[in-house]
Amino acid sequence: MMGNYKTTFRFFTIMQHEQEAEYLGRMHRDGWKFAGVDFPGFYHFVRSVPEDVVYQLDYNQDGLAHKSEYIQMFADCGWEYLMDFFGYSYFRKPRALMQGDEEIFCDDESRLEMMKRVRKGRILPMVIVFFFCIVPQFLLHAIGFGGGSPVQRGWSVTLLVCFFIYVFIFLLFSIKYYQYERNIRKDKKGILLKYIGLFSFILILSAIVIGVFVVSNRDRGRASKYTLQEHESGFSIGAEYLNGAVTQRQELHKGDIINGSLVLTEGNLQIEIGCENEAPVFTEYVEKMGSFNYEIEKDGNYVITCTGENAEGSFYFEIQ
Amino acid sequence: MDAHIKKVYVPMTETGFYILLCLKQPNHGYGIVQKVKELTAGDIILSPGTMYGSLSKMEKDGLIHFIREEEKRKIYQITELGKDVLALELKRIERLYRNIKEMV
Repeated sequence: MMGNYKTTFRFFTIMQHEQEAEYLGRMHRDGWKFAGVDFPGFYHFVRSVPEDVVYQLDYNQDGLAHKSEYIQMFADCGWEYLMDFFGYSYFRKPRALMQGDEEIFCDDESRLEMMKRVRKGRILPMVIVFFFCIVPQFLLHAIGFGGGSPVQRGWSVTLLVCFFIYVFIFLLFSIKYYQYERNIRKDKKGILLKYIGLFSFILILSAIVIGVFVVSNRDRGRASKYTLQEHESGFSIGAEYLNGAVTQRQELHKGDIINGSLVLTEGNLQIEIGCENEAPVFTEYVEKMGSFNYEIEKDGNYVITCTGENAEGSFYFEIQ
Repeated sequence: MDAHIKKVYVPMTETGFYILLCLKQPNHGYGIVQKVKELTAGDIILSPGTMYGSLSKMEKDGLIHFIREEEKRKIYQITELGKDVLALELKRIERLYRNIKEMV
């Protein structure tokens, strides 16, 4: 039955449950009845008669723990229970059955109470992950603790993106929370100060994170400067500044031995040896000084790649 | 009565007030919704999310206690602490009413 089912993709963050509910109501008015949602945001609809139906989301772990009573209370009030998704329960009620505007919450106090439950159940775990995982991991990778390989650099970018996604969600949540708290509480000045403090903290933290990222990447744009010399039995690289890869192609036979002797005065260096268009058979990672011997196991056209990161020094390769 | 209870429940929300008032007799959440609708001539219709949240919170704070379950509906009744809170609220509302009468 083509055309009777439809799936859309929408991404709503934690604090956008109101927008999500509005979206489901809009779809129902267009003749698409909500039939379910799958991670991370696939919404399923069934073709139906267009109807003005109000959708609402609740977040109540206590309710989920006592589900039959919880659903019963909503059913008594005319709200049809649909499903649970990540701690949120979905309900709907046709507007025709309502007296005026109805929602599953009738005052701002209980809306704020729901937000407190979301804060405890969803935001708090995120805060823990943020401060004990994302921030320290980002700082370690960004400053290149334990090496500073290209993989680590990639991670620092990924973690930076995560950092700002978290900050974005925290900000959305805080703004929403502030709006309700301001309506309810008497101590308006105290609340304002609390949020100014919170936003300043987030701002300072973001500035530090961006600062660390910029400083640790400031040399990236600098052009490499090096010399490559070939000898009778090998080659050598003298690097004034090496950022990126230098490759040397060489036909090698079984039994050949590559001796590498590497002296670095700055940065670090990664050596890879492998046949062309194949995974490397040998990898060596060097900071400061290093030497290695590698015996070739089969004949072929080999590529020796030296990837430097702010590297300065001399690297000798002798082939026997 | 400890400071926390006083801070949270005095003054009280309209929902909280009607819940405590109705639970002088044993009742369940939907029973309270119907009773309040009747008392206010349909002006106040309490919502299930608000009702469920308020009942669990009041039970946890000891203002009401669970008596029994009937057809998946939990029946509650007010406790002594709940009566004290309600009395405080009543006093506050009486004063408001008196003052309005004097001023107008």
